[in-house]
Amino acid sequence: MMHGWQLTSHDTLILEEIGDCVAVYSNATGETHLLDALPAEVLSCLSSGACLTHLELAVAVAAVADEPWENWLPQVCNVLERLASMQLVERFER
Amino acid sequence: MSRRLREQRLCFATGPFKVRLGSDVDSFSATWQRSYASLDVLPAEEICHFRIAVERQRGARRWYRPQVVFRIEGLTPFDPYPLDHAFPMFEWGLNWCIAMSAHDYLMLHSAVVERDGCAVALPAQPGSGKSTLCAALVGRGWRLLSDEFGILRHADGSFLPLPRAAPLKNASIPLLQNFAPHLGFGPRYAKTRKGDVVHMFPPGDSLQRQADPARPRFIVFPRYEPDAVLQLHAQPPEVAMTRLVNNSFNYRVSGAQGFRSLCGLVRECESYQLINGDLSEAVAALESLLQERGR
Repeated sequence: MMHGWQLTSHDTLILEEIGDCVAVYSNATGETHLLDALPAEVLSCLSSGACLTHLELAVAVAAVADEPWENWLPQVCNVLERLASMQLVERFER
Repeated sequence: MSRRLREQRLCFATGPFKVRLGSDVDSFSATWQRSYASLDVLPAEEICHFRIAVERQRGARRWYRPQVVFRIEGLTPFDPYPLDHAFPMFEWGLNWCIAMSAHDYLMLHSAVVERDGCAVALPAQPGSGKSTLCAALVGRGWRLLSDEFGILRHADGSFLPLPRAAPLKNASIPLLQNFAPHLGFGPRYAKTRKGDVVHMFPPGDSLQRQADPARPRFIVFPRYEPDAVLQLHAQPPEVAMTRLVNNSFNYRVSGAQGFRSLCGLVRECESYQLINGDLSEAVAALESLLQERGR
């Protein structure tokens, strides 16, 4: 069984570009986060309610960043762990 | 007006808020009337947001070290002050009432002034010279929106005025009285919890225009450092956003609406850090900024 990632259950996020960052507001926690481009792109990929594996997310990021997905994979994994620690994303089994 | 104050029937508007005020302290009544001489008094039957009384402490305290109490809706949230500190107690008390309850707006801990249609917010922590700089700009003809609250209206992102007496503290008192002697100043209150305090009274035109909102144009984070060379640095919007989140009275209470309003404010404004050791230089820098980059 593979595990993937989704936005934290019962949360809706508001994303607003602010300068070089993206400000993210979590309706569930009431917290505001300022994220740089990669975590913001990961959240954006998941914001439609999609449940994606880290491989699928690396491919999605590579598509907008014009670089092979293999280059993005370690960073995407790190970013997902960070976003999980902020309670913005969570794992799911599929 | 004195009679209505004694009878607790003095109603007035301060920015978007209506206050019913009563007091049996003559020195307070006299200072209040000097400070807000240009304010239109509302009918005594007006329904108000805040019902406040500034009253002498009863009992033995009437004779021995007399004290004054601040009541809001009959409650006394603070310890009494010395009787002759009634005016600062009222000003701080009303600020507290607004900060605790006016959650229809996003409230920043910030002075706000306006000129040529451009509002400049001066958000800062206590001790950073915010009130001093604000008063100096008012002394140079800027409109006072507020010395303490940047009241941001969610619906259109404009700043609402709340022109009130601005408390100048300690060394700022003679500095401002020399810098702008034409401004109205109240009596000196010695040894308050913030040191010696003198209030700069809000100018009449600022009071008369207290229903006119202003569009935000600049956010300037001031910091006074003795003998510092003037520095005015642009600040990235994401840094300004972070500082404003931490500076707001009610950002967390405001939820998603507050988030959107703050994002809108940061996008609409240019943000700067101002470090100054000389009041004249700081005022000149902000006037140049307005001239060069105002719209």
